Amino acid sequence: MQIKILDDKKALGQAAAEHAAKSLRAALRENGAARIVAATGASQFEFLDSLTSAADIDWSRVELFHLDEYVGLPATHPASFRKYILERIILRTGIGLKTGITQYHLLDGEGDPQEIAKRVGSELISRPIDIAFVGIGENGHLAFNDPPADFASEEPYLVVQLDEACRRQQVNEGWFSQLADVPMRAISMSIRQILRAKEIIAVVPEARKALAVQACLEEEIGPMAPASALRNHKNTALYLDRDSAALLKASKRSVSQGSVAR
Amino acid sequence: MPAPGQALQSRARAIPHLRWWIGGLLFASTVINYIDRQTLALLAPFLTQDYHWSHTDYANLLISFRIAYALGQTACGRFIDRVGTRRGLSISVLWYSFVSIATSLATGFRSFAAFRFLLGAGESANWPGATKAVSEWFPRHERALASALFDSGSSIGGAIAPFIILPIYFRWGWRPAFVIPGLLGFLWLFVWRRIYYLPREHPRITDAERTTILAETESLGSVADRRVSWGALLKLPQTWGAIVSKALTDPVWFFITDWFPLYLVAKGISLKSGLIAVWVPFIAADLGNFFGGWASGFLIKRGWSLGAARKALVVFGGFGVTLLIPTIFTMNLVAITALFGLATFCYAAFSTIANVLPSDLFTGGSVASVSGFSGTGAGIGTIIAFELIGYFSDATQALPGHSFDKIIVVAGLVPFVGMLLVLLLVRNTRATKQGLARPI
Repeated sequence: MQIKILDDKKALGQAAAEHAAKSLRAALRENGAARIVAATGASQFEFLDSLTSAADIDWSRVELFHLDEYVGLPATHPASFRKYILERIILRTGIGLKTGITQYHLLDGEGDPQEIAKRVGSELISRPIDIAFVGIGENGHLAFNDPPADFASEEPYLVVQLDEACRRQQVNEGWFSQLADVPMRAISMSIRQILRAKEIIAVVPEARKALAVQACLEEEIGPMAPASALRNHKNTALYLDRDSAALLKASKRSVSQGSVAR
Repeated sequence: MPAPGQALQSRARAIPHLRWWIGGLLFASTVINYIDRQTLALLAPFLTQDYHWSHTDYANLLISFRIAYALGQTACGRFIDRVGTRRGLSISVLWYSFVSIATSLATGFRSFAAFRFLLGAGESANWPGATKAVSEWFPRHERALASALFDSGSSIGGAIAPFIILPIYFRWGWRPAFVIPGLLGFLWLFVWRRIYYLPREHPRITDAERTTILAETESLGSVADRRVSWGALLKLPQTWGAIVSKALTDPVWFFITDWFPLYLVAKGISLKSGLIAVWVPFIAADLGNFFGGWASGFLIKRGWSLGAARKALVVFGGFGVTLLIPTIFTMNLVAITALFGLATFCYAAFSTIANVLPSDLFTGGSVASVSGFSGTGAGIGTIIAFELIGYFSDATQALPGHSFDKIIVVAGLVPFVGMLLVLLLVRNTRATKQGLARPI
């Protein structure tokens, strides 16, 4: 795993977006198309702003999946990840605009979650994923796989219970006005499925993530620190800012800082 | 990606529930389509006299329309997938409105036959085009209802045509009776050009509606840029499921509308006492259309999968149409009419699903193509059925009251066979995984 530590959230977003754009162009050049997975949440704002305004990416040949969605939330709800993906990625790019084939796959949280997980899952695994963008939750979750996460399931999407820390984070980020409004369940891409992507770019800014980052990088790999699974992936880049890297051992910080091109 | 309306976005006022306005426009296009094609039928009593046409001549005029209409659906479906819904329907409405107006210049059988052929070719774009528009604008659970809405334009158009055409004829003669309905098309076109854009680029759509539609329709590009060939489509079981669902139901409808009165007469029932009965199938069909659309949407809302919700209505229809069969055992007008009404109601629910299957099963670039195939299949099925009906009813003329028995049994069973085939063919296959067909 490559760890890159940037000065602040904005610089992090830009650096990760440059990396992502480069990988995306390469996949498009090599295969004529690219399949990607996108993460949502407040931590991805700057990254997605930069990525969607990057030049020379033919988005009409990009096929998009997303990591997770709440069960029971309509797409028009401010916290809906479908709304997020539509407004922050799809409508800003040319995904799905020109081609006759399905170019994005949203998880319909209002349908039967098992059925949606199966249906979108079968499309997801039909061909390999080139790049997955992920974040890490305050509780260390990867997608909506809260601790203890299911490290064994081979299913592409799972229907999961959300823990209180995760739900509280959503209220603190301003997506919901109170804890009771946050759904109890979600559809989430499984840990194993995320690790099947050829490349993973993790975007993790802000001090509130520092504990989770430390746990996932410095404690044992296992279900209690779900994002620690990323350490098992050969081609992962983890983008941190000074705040989210603050609790890492000094050695790790200095080494990785050196690896960032400035 | 400069969307046509994007610059206006901040200025133009958003229209809530825009998709239902578009649904209304598709309904209007079907109404106009039917008024245009009914003109000849309504004027036939006068024109056959003026031009000394035999019944065979008149039948040949109808056939020239039918052939162009049946084959045209496949060609037009493809065309609309190539150029997109907005442009495709614009061109076809322009085409058949011009043809309708130009028919006023006809001078005899040959020119009428030619105009009829051109009209059929242009009008055949309506169903594939409207089906594609529905797939672009309506989320899964509303798609069948929206299809039922535009489909019902055919019965409404047929019903109001006499009130438009005949007064014009009696006042100004037959030529204006072709011109004025043709002008309706231009009126429609004016509104269409202002209102029809894809949801993601529509200048007057609310953010909430756009999100709802785009979240559920899963990105249908309107224009086929990765082209799926006809051959590749015809290899998919899903395509054949869509074709048989229409080809094995449509003929039954035409049988009911065109032969029901004769069936009553063959039973020894006078049409005078049975006049109301003749209306029953039409009313039952309209109700059945909307019932099919509403019920499958309701099931999806209840959490049923798309495929299960569609197939439930197909099973309902497949079994329901068999209610035609018991009519062979009775001579009672009320019983026969009630059974025909119920069977037609069930048929119509099935037929709504047949209309919506192409948009359920295929991605943007293929919806109109497959809808065109199923229209052509229905046209061919209907022609075959009519030949057979004529043959069998003549052959069994000797049995008083029972000359139609065999035909009724066949008519009752054909949609049942269609049901079995749909259950067999409409499923997720490897093509679904490859992105050629959509999961159901």
